[in-house]
Amino acid sequence: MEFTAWIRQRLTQHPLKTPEQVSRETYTAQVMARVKGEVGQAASPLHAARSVRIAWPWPRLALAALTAAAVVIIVTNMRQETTLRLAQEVTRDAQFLAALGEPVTDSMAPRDLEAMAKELEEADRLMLAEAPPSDDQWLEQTLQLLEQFDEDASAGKTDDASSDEDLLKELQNDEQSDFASAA
Amino acid sequence: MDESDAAAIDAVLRGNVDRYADLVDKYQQQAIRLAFSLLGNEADAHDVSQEAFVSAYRSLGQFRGGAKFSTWLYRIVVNKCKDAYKRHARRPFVVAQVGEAVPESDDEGSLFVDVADPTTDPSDHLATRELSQQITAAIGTLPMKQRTAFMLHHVQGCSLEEAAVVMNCRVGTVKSHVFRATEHLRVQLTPRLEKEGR
Repeated sequence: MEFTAWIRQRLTQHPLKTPEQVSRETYTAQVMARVKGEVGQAASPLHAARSVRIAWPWPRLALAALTAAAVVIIVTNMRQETTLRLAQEVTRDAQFLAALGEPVTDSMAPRDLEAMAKELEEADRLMLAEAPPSDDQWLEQTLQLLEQFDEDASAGKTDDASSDEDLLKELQNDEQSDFASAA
Repeated sequence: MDESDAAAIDAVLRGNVDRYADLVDKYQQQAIRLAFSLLGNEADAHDVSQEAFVSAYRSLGQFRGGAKFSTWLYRIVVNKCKDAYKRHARRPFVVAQVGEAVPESDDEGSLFVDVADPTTDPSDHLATRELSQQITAAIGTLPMKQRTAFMLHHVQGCSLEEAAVVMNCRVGTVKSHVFRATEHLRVQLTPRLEKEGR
């Protein structure tokens, strides 16, 4: 006979001993007393199934604080990464230009803030020095230039219609004089 | 699920607590026997099985009717037995001091295979008792998971699928536990088999 069948037969023939300390009725009564004690203390199992498990407040607070800290850390890291990435790109471009033999511009070289501020101030001064003069100054300068070339400054002030007719007459006169001189 | 079980559960959930006694009366033997076979101690088996019934009542609202009540109860019993087993593991051994009487071993209490066999001749009672002790000792040496799987399948009559639900593991795992337990018992009880000429 196979061992499995043998052990099963043995366990069937010699059934597991059931404790006989208390009778069936006593056992049931004991269980029901405990169950009714449960009923007295709490709600019925149906209510127990519907009840919501209330968590302690402190883990919630700790969890919220941890979440906030994690968000701050992530945002800070992202910003640092962006700055680093830009600096790496500038360095890489400078290296690439250097490899091609091109001069690296000042804008690509790392500079400190004070030097940059001084450069900006100088650039502002230069722009102010090179700034175009005001309209009056420009008009005076133009008149002076026209005087130098012996041109009538009032000629520019004629209206468009008369100037066109005059220009046409002048051109006709010029052509006739040119033709006559050529003949 | 059994119709009478479903009716009793429905009545309890509607507030008729006394109907729970029907379930206790129907399944107490199986619950005690399972706990006893896993723990090997009558008193612990009693307490654990009663705790299992109370726990089952407490969470009866969560019981899904798709499963058998017995399967669900066995699962609670097995979990309670695990807890009790851990408590026993932490319990310090009582060591007799010099001059004190050595405490008697509780072999009788841990003998969960019944020696009484109505089919055998009274003259074989001694042999039957010896065999029961050997089987009990062999089963007692099984690891907890193997013992649980073996008992659920071969003694409680659960299918492998039901045993998997009770033990909260896959069917393949239960098969493995049952196979290993059987092999372990075969090694332990081979001398007895040879003596019987099998």
